[in-house]
Amino acid sequence: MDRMGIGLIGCGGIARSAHLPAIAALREHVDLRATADVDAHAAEVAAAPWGAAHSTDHRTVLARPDIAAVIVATPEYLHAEQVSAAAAAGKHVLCEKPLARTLAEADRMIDACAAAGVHLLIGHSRRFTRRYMEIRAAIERGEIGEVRLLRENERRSRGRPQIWWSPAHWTGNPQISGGAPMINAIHETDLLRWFSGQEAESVQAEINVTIAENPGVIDFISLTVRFKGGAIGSAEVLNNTPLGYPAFHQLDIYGTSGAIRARDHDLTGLARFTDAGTEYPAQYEMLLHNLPAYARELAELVDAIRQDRPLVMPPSEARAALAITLAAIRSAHEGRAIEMGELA
Amino acid sequence: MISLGIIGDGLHAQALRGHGAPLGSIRLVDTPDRFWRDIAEDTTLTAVLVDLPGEAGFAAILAALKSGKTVISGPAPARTIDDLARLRTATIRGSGTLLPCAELTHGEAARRGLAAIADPAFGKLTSLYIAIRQPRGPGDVLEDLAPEAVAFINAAIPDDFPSVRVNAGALFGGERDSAVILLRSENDVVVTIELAKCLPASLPAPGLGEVEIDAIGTQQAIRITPNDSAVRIHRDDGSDARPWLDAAVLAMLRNVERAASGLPEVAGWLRRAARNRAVLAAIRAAAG
Repeated sequence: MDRMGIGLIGCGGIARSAHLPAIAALREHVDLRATADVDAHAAEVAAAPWGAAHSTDHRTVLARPDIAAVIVATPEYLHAEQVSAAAAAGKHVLCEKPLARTLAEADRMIDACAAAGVHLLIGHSRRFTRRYMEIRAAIERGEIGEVRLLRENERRSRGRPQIWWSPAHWTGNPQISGGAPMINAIHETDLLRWFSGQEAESVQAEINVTIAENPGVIDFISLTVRFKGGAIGSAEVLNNTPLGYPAFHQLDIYGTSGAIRARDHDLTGLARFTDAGTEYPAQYEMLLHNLPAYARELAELVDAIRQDRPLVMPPSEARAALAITLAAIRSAHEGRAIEMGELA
Repeated sequence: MISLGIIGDGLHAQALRGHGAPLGSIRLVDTPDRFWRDIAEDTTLTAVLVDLPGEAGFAAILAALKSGKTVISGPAPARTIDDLARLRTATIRGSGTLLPCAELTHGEAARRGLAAIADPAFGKLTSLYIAIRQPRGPGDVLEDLAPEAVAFINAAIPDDFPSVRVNAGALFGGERDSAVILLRSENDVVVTIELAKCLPASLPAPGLGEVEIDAIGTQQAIRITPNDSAVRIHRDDGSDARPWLDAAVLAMLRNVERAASGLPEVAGWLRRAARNRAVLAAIRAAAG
């Protein structure tokens, strides 16, 4: 089978750490043919191992007829324009999370892809980690009954030196960065919804700026979601632990007939407690930002294109996570619970 | 010598009864068959530990204070301002001393954690996360579990909390068995509290609750999981865990000795109790 032509728009940190390794892992199925980044050197470095073309203008990638799909790995303020342009050019899209800055932008992107008949997969990579795939499967099998209470914390260490959240990096630019709610907590709002199997009803949150070098971008959020089925979810997401802090993720899910825990602290990827006893089904990857997850994510897009089938995660799912995140930010600013209906 | 009686049969009372070792200047006078009022008013006792829930617990504390005793209570001895005032009046008139004691703040791990947070090397506290989970069962987590969490928070953070949010519900068949609480202090420390009676019987230590505390500072992070002070008993038909709270209860008793010595630090109980009550009242109000 011919390898599918892939383009890469945005060659920064997430492209280097996740998407380029994933493309390499799937080299028998995909071929990187062009890259683009406003940093010409970054585009060139990303393209070099593949002998791919490189540019500072994403439109040169979209103009190529030998590219079927593009990976958009740019900050969220660029997504609406670049994804809509990709759709207009007939390219399928794997776009980094968050989907967009606003629901209006999200709808524009989703509508553009639907109108063009191309797939839009949003990079909610946690859903492609073995640890969380197994948990979701266990919930679907009914092993802990109906999900009632969920907690997914994400605690990241500060940098040494501090690059993220500093004025020198886009994450620290209040004009273009959505901060921790959009960069980190979008994972948590997606996971709380995905694991609960319920739509959000209302959201409450507090936000903060905790890192000394940070010029004012939100780098902390603690949120709680009430779901329509009665479940309650919560997430504390921060970016200022010392390097010695032992964990990123703490997931607890309590159902009507059991519980699932996957806490990095425990150094066991997954423990499952049911009426039948306790199971430790496997030792999964400690770090959820891992190559197999990003390779599975890209493979999902490639397979869906080749098999002409729907994506396992349609963009409406990413829109729902975005809506919860936006409600959380608004709740923190307005000091009250936000009903999801207020965002419509 | 301080003669200490026990009212009730909660975990603190059980820990004291099962201690089986000398208690320094305290002599234990345990009469579990006597009615609580008889113990509270027994003039041969100089102190009592009241570990009785609800209205009877409040009445026992009040009666013991009126009779001039030093009283160890749970972290929230009064639910209302009026009740707090009655305890204060009884203390003044009866010359007794009330020592509201949270297990969490008196346990070894949490005491060390509080000391570490207060250490300048920790830096400025930016966020505090407390989860208290217990086996499924009846009751209201805002009544049963929140006082412990609030006592720890107030010990760690001197500020007031102008913002209080609560997301609570009956998720596992209890009255109000789950709650997520968000507090924001006047100095912008965000506190997240998760309280739940959610643990299924199949967990490895059934019958035992668990606590997770994560305090994040600008220089250090502290994680406290004081969950291991228990004897786990495994049988063919299952297992259970019996907590031993020696360190916490003995720390409470040391307060009794300080009170007997007239040391000034115990005089702050009313201020601490009022502060705890105010935060708890705000949480209850936010829960609706």
